[in-house]
Amino acid sequence: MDSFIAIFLISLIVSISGNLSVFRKASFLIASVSHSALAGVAFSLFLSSQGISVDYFVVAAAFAIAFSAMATVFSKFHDVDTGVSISFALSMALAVAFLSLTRNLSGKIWSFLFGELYLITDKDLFYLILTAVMVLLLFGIFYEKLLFYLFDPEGSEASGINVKFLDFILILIISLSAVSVIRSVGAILAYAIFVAPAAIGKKFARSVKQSFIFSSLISFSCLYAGLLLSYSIPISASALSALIASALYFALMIKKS
Amino acid sequence: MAIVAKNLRFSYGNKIALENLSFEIKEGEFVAVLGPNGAGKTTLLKCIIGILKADGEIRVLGKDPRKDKEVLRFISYVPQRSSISIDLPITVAEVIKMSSKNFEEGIVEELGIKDKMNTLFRELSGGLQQRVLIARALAKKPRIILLDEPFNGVDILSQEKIVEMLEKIDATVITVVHNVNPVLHAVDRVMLLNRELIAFGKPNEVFNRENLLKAYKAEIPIVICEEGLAHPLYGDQHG
Repeated sequence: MDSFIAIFLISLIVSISGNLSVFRKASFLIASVSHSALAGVAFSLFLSSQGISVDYFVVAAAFAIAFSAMATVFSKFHDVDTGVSISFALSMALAVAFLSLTRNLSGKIWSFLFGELYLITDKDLFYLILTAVMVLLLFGIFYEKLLFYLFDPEGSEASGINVKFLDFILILIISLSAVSVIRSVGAILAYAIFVAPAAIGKKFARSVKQSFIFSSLISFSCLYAGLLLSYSIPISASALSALIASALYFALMIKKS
Repeated sequence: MAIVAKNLRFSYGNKIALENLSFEIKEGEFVAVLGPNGAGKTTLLKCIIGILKADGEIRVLGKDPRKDKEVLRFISYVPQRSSISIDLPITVAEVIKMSSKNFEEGIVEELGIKDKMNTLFRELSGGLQQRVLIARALAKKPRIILLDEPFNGVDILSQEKIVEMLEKIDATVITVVHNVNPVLHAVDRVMLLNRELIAFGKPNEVFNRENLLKAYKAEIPIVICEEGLAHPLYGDQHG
């Protein structure tokens, strides 16, 4: 039952964040943010190995927000791809460095790398609920401004909208989402669950709202199918979900073209 | 006055985009801004809105747009279509409502897009997309409307509809154009720019060999139409 609730919440979260990043033409930011969250988890494990107990979610969220803000700032010097790529590389390097310094606990990182959909704890579920509420609230409050900004960045700025603040809200939504789901779907596979359903939704939807609904349903179906299949196939549920989501994306794009 | 600029200067790093630019535009005037690529036309529009902070003095409806964002309530800006995320699954109605929820239906009727309200923006032709963006700008009932290359990739019919609408509205219109000819009969004045102001006045005062040579660094043929207006005939290399 916990896994079912988790999948429902993840579908809501990734639908909003995935669509926002795809609309922003910065879907690679999801990969970068989930890996910087991983660096945060590695840092919290390192601190634990030193006898300092910290909550992984808080540290991972701080890392994710800091690195995505950094990627956005550095994007202005070159382009979004370059800024995000360098931030991605730096966060991965930090994750490896912290793990190298961590004894005994480094094995724990595997669940954050590849996810454990069927091993959701009450604490993980609490973070998912908290994130879903925050993401839905932020999205609801800023929906119209975000839509204007994503459609026409210059026009929205010219109409008096504070686009730097909106960029921060976008980063906040994407960062919190990535951190909350890496425990379930893994930092490496999160990209597929965020981006593939959103890209399908964007392509086939007849309105923005429809795109969010489509991608949410697709994420839910892929995650649930992955979980069910993992009971009969000795492959992790998150890997199966990512495989299904990616295969669905390719199949539908080929059909559409 | 709608806009007053004195000694306006803006540079991107070491590259000067605008310098020593002074001009006045009265309320209700229709002005076309033209010049070669890199002349600072788009930069000028962004300085008027205050997105780019130019040095010098600028007053828009009596306010400084760099400090007073309230003035933006009276301005509509239509950016180049290339800066818009055209592939978003967004309907024409949703696009227009970004500017004002209660827009007058007459605007969409006159622009010939009333039957397209539930169509996805990305499924429209370039000309219709531009009409939608103009409708969005007008829905706000602005006192000043700024347009950046509104005729790029736009068919003749849409060009005519847009010019008709811009002539009709009760607002100051400033449009950056690649080719001034579609709008020449409608404008009050033209501003010829190449980082600095080359000439600003009625079309026949501005379009002469000397001014065009100074702006485009090339000979531009001029043709006088039946109504006596001077039309510069550019090749692609100039614009």
